[in-house]
Amino acid sequence: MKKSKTGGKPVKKGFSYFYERVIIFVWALIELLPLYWMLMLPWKTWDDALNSPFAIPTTFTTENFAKVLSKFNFGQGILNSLLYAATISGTACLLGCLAAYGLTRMRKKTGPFFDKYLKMGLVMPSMCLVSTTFLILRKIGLLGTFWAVVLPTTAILQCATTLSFSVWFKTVPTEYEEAAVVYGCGPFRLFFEIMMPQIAPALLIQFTVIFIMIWNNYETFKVYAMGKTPQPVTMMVAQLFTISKNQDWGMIGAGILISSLPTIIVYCIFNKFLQKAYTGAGSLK
Amino acid sequence: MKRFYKNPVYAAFITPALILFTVFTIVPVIVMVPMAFQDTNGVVVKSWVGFENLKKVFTDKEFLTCMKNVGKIFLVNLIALVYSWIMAFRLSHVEGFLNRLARFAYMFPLVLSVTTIGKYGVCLFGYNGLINDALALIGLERVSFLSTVKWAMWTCAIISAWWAFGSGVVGRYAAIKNVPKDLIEAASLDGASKSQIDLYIIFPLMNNHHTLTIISTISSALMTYALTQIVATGLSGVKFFNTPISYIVSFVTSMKYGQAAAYSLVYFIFCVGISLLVQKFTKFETYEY
Repeated sequence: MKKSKTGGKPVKKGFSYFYERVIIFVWALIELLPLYWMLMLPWKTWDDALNSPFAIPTTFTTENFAKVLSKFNFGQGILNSLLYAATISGTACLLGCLAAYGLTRMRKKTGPFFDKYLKMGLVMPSMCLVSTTFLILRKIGLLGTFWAVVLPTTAILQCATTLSFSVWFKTVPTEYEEAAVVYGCGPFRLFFEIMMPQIAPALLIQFTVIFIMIWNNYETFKVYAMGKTPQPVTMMVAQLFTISKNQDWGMIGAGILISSLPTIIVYCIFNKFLQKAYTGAGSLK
Repeated sequence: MKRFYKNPVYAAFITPALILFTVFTIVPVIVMVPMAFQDTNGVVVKSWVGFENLKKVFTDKEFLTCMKNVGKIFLVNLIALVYSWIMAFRLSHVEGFLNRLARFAYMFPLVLSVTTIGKYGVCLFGYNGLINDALALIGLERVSFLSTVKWAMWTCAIISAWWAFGSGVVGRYAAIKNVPKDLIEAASLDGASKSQIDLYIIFPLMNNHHTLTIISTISSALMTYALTQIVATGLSGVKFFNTPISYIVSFVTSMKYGQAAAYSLVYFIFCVGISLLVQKFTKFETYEY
């Protein structure tokens, strides 16, 4: 019988030991089932995909990819998604970082007030504001443009990013700043050259989380972009559903595989980092 | 140094975030209030209708159905939340390859878009899907999960709960791993079993985590829109999948902004009220280990 690592009760390899492992393994397979589905579906013929979507293809065909690529420019869609995701995550991180630094270092009474003001966004149900945000965007002439998606999304992300960066800035010792100020460093140089590098891991984590969130976003594009702005890849896939009327599953599968491939590859390479980023834990090894 | 921090330039640091937040989050709330009392197409105010729009909100049976749908999503997600704790504890008992494989697999659905998850759900629960194949295998009749009012929203709720489940398990697992090992060792030396350590040592130390997960489960259920829309695309019973947000969006697309604002206002107050209520009854605690 093996002794426990802590030196306590010996570990028994009984029924519960194997039961726990079997459950964990089976659930892991369930979670990976969409990957199998995505990899199998695009190679199936119309009938195969419609009648047995989870079976291994009986005859392989590349026709679905040809159909999808003739209908949509997925390369452009991926580039558009990259542009949206990079702009929104970059802006949200930069503005959140600036605000967090200002709020944690402001000695005036206004600091805590603005801190609470921004934190209101945490309880703000963003999608409830869709009707009036829609009108505001129309009034300022941005509706249906690239910025119609970028600005409201960045605004609602501000609260979470500011809060997260504030926590990090509070852990940075003020001695760094004091030394820099003694040597004549101004506030902006102090921020960009001394303080920002101190919270680089937090910046990277926030950037990654927001980037994937925007890459996979659907609702903001659907409501504010109105099909006029550069179409991201998620909207192209959504249009495929309408075109195929839930019948041509092979074509839907091809679209889904092409659109998901970048995130799947990124996840396979950086999964450990992404696990830490999403859970906010350094304890995962 | 104190004088340095009093430098007005610090106001410049917070100004861009404040402006953006105010224009696209606070102003829409303020604008919503008068609009709820108007009959407007967004360009001109046709008339002031008093409480007419708000009365409609409280007498609209379709909106009530939308609220019930959100309730179903929340209920299934809450059950999944409880089970995710059990799975997280199970995962914490396992080390090595299986642990790494499980974490890789459990986080995987999180990187998939709502369009992928929605259509995967349709395939899974469709008439020829895997679930129906399994039912047929054990001699039961196939069920139209997605085209009957009885099953449609529950199916959507299960898809939504499954999507968030894996990452929830890894999140809870990370929280368990953050508990100081000294406490676990002390309990183990005192003769506590694994399940006793989980239940009486680790679980109570996670109060803050519980509060956060409950709040996020409620808010994500209340804001459900994209998943139900994707699942409903191309299906016959689109109305079965209505949620309050999709209902509000339908008013926006038909340019009935007065009604959209009234529904938004009521739902906004409801959502904020719920999150404040949860925060009131759950408190954040700090532990000194």
